[in-house]
This record gives sequence, C-alpha cells and structure tokens, in this order.
Amino acid sequence: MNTKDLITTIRGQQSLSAEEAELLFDATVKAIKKQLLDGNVVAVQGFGQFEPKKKNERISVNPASGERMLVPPKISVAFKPSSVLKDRFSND
Amino acid sequence: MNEKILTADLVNAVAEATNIPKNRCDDFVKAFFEAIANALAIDGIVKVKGLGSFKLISVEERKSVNVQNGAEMIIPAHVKVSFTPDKSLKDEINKPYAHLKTYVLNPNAPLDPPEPDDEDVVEDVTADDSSQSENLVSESSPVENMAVEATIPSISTLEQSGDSSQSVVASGSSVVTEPSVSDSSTDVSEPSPLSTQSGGEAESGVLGDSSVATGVSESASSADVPEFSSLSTQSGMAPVSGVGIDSAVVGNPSVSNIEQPKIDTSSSVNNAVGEPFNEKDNTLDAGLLNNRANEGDDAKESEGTDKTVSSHSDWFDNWEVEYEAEGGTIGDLNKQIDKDKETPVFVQPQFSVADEVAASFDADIDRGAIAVDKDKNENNTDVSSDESQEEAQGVHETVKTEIPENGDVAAETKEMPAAETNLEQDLECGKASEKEECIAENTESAQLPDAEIPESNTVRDLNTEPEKVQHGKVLGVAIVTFIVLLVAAFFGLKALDPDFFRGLKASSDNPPVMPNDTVTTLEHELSVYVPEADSTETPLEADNADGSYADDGQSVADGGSDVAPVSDAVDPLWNGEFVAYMKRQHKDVSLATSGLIGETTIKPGLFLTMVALQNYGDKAYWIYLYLYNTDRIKNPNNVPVGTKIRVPKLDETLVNGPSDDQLNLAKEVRLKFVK
Repeated sequence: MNTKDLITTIRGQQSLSAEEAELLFDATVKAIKKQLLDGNVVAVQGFGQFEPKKKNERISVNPASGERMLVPPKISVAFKPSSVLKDRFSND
Repeated sequence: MNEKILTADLVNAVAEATNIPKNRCDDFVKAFFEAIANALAIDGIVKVKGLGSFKLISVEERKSVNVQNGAEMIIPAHVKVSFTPDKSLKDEINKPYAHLKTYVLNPNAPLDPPEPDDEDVVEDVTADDSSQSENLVSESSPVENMAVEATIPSISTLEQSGDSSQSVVASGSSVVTEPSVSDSSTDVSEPSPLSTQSGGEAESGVLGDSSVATGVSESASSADVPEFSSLSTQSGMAPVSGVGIDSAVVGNPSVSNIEQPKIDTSSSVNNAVGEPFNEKDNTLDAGLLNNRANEGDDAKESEGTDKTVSSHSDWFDNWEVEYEAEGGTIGDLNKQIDKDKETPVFVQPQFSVADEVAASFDADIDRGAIAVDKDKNENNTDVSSDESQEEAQGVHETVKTEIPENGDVAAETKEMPAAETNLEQDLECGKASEKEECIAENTESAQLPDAEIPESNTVRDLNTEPEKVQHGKVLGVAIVTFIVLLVAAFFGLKALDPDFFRGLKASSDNPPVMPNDTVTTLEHELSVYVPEADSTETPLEADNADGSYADDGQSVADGGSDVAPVSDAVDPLWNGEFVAYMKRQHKDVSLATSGLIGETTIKPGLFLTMVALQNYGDKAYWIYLYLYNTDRIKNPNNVPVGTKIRVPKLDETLVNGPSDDQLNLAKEVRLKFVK
C-alpha cells in the first residue's frame, strides 16, 4: 500500500476533499520529520514511536576481502512499535 | 532536543501549518496512523511518502536461554514491524555526518586510531615550525630585549662581552622606546661614571682590560643599538671614553666581527646603532654624539687596519693582540689612517658608508681646514677606491685638527673624564666637526702630544671662527655618520653574503625552513632594519617616533612582505609540505591568499566539508582548509568541537566552484596529504 491508497482510505473514513487530505497528509509527515530533525522523539499513542538515533562509527570487515573499514557515524530513525500495535499483529 | 513529542503536539503542528481546525487535524492524524496500522495488517507493507516504509516481518520461533537462570526457552514465532526511513528523511537527518565516507583501514594499523601515517609526520613538522615561528615572532616583538638576548648566545663567544652585552640589552630596550635620548642627554650633562672610568683607564694606558671595554660599552650602550650589544656598542663606546686610542682599539673588535661568520649581526647592529644615535643626536648636546661619530670613524679606520692585520675569530684576542701589535702609542692612529688609505680590503663593504661619512664631514665642516687636509690626503692617497679616500680624508681631518689643540685639551682630559671635558671643549670649538676634532684631540693630545703639531694651522682656523655653537650642525654630522654606518653595514652584508637575503626570503616564505631560533631572529631583525636603513635618512622625527622596535611584529611582517614578491606570495600558514608539493607539481596554481573570509568555530555537526561547501562552493575543497590550518587541526577526520579554523580567500586557480580542474586538483591533494 502506498501513499495514495492511504489517503483514499482516510478519505473514505472522513469527509475530506482530496486537496484537504493531501494538505493534511503533507503537514503530518512534515511535522514528524521536523521533530525528528530536531532530535525529538515522536511518540504516537497506539502506534509506536520514532526516534532519531546516532550510530557510532565502527569498524566493519569485508568478509570477502578481509578489508577492515571504518564506517563513519550516522544518524538514523528508529521505529519502535507500541505494544498495542504488536499485539494486533501477533493476534492475527 | 530529545523531547518526547506526543500526538497532541503533532496535531498542533499540523493545525498550525494547514490552518485547519484542530479537531479535524486530530481526526486526520489519528486516522492516518490507524490507516497505516490497518494497511500493515492487510498488506504487510505500507510505504508512506516522505516518512518511510513500514513492513511486517515474521520471525520464526527460536531457542534461547534465559539470561537469569540459564534455562533454555523457546521464543515463539511472532511478527515484528520494521521501519525503513524514506531516503529523503534519512538524508536530512543524517546531514551532520553526510560528508563522512567509509574509510579503509590499513591492515597493519592499530585498531583504535585510524590516522594515516604520513599525516602524523606532516603535522609534527608543521606544528614545530609554527611554534618556532611563533616563538620567533614573540621574541622579536616584545621589545628588542628578547631578540637581543637571543642573539647574545651566539655572540657569547666573546666571553666577557656577555656581561656588557646584557647591560647593553637593558640599555638597548630603553633606546628602543625613546628613553635613549634622555639617557644620552644625561650622559652628556653628567659625565657618566663609565665614560669617566674608561677615560681614566685609557689615560693610564690600560686598554687590555675587558672591564674597561665593558664599562665603555655600557655607557655607550645607552646610545647604541640594543641588539648588537658588544660589538657595535664597544666600537661606539670607545670614543665616548674620550680616548682616541681606545676608540681605535675598540674599533678593531667591531671590525673583526664583521669579518667573522656573524657578519650579519654586526652589520645589522651597525644599522640599528645608527638610528638610536640619530634620536639621541636630536636631544643631545653633541659632545657625546660627536665623540661617537668620531668613534665610528675611528672604528672604520681601525677596521681597515684590522683587516689587513689578520682575521679574527675572537675579537678579544684580536683586540689585545692588535693593541699590542699596533702599539700602545696613539701615534698609531695616524698610521692606521694611512693604512686605511692604502688598504684595498677596507674599501669594499663600507664604500657607501665612507662616502657618506666623508660627505657629511665636508658638509658640516666645510672649511678651509678641511680643504687643506683634503689636499694632504689626496697627496697621500692612491687608494683603490675614492670612497675610502674620502673617509680617510675625513678621518685625517679630524685627527689633524685635533692635534693642534693638544695643550688645552690634554689638560682638561686629564682632569675630567671624557664627558665634561668634551662639553667644555665643545663650547670652545665652534662646530660639531670641531667638537669631534676636540675629542680626538683630547685623546690624542693626552697620549700623543708631539704627534702632529705642524697642522695646527687648520685647527686655528676652526678655533678662530665664532663660538656660535650650532648644535644642530653637530647633531647633523653625527646623524649622517651613523646613517652612513647603517648603509655601510647593509652593503657590507650584501657584498659579503649576497645569499643571506635570499635565504631570508626563503625562510620567510617557508617557515619550516627556518634553521633555528637565533638565526631566524637575526633574519627578522635584518628584515626589519633593512627598510629602516633607508628611512633613517628621512627626517629625524621619524626616528623619534620610531615605533619600529616596539612594533616589531608589524615591522617583521613588513619585512617579510618586502622580501617576498607580492605576486608569488605564499601564505606562510600553508602546510610546508603542501607548498613544496604545489611548487613541484602545480606551478601554475597560486597559493596566494587575499586575507581571510573569516574564522569558523567547529561545532557539533559542522565539518570541514560543510565549511568548504559554504565558502568555496564544493565540499571537496575542505582539504585546503585542513592544509591551511594544520597548526590547529591534528586529524582532519576528527576536528574537535570548538576548533577555530581560518578560512582564507583562495586564488581562482586553486578554488573555483564546480570547475573540474580545481576539483580534481583538490582530490589529488587530498589523496596526497590525507589517506
């Protein structure tokens, strides 16, 4: 399922114009992104939380050549599903 | 940072951004996540544009061990939700580290510090260089004292001179600021104990004592240049003592110095000496100054003789030897003068000096006596160079004129040490030249009463002239003589070691090349003095206000800029190896920098690449930032937060936005200097 399907799904539940829905969708995604860029944890009740995490530099080895490489640090977004969400899937 | 943003906050933000009522936003946001969850449950995968993709991953059951009690357990099969951030989100959030790339480690290198080997070496070298150069600058800048002290060790071969040189240093500092004038004036008004002592000793005929020399140097030192301590000061001092003989003898050491390996120092000393004298001259009563001027001449004369005599490694030895050899009788002065005329050696380094001295003499004295003397001199001189002749003439003039007044002068000298006697004599003598003559007379008369009385005619002429003592003239004479000294020293340096200045250039261009502290300080001083030598001929006010010593830092910089052609100027802040490499490989690329764009402080998330991107248009140019700040950046891959880096304005041949040539060059340089 992609973004378009999502929006149509949501529109089906609520009376929203296509424009409005798109506007809201973009605004929501942007809001989440902004918070993540600021280093904040975005926790959505009943869904899970997004957290920017810094991963330290590390040395990895290329198993084929045995080359050791220093992988630079990076920041990534981790998602941790809420227990509610997990339960839903495990129940299924 | 690190706040926990809840759904409500999200809703607020959305409402703000969309101007849609909060409750509707709330509904939408909730529906949004609910839809995702539902879609996940149905499709197992949801891609949300701008956020990322959620995916359900089923995990099979597996065996595990309870960490607490070690009991085996089975983790049942379950489903987990994976989230992969969208590329745009990933990139944006990783922006601070975006420039970092995976770096292949040297298999032999230790695990922890992934620093390239070459880099360490480079850094060490540059660090040393920079520290050295800084030291040099700091040393030279404070006041001349530091520089003087630095030079002292090298000169210290003169054993006892060490004491005198130090004292000289102290006095030198005063000279630097301006106090020199006051000192000198005080000397004049109140006969300084030193000069008196020297005079006494001179009379006693004990010239061999180092103590005498040092004492003289101290007294003279106040007037003399700070730096060259023993050598120049002594030469200048000797005359102060009032003993013509002494001056001649003392002059020898200075000469010997010139001949010695440290010619540079002596020459520069002479230059330096010239300036302070000028200052003093303005305020002084001429007496001492005149003496000094005479001394300077004497010194020159003695130099000529010395050169002919022998080469001296240790001036003290020479001094004594020469003194003994040349005889304790003052009559030698004349002989020496004659020698000067006859000795070609003398001519070369100090041509200009001689000329100027002679000129000054002529201008100031400008009397019948001189003419007479000149005639005599001309008769005598088939000297190699005209200049030397002129000098010799001037000397002769002074000497001869002095002689006639033996009677009065001698009496006075015996009674009073140099200073007072000089003053009195000055009063008697109408003009500066006369004063000089008087001084010379004093010395000579005391010891060589019968030497050359026949020329008393000239003296009489001088005496007969009105007593309108024009100190200005006297001062002028002294000033001119010292200027001459300066110029002579400068040219002497050039003639003796033309490579010296080139070496200077090179060193200023490449700090790393600098051999050691003393040498470099000397170079700095030289670079400072060379331009000043010219300026000394300009109005005296310039000398009085002379901030050159106090502002040594600036003057040093000026000197450097003078030396290095502007077009090819290479900023000394560049890494030395980099400069060498560029000169070798890319001569067409200019390393000139036109000032700084600014200084940037490294903050968390701000890296050299970012700075380069902002200032140069491409992050590949970061390598230049590193090479320009090698004194501050130890490891370009790990620049500590808070590091201040200089961002220079670079030439277009080096940095030119997205131009492929420059980018390739930057890459090449990076591969060369950073692994």
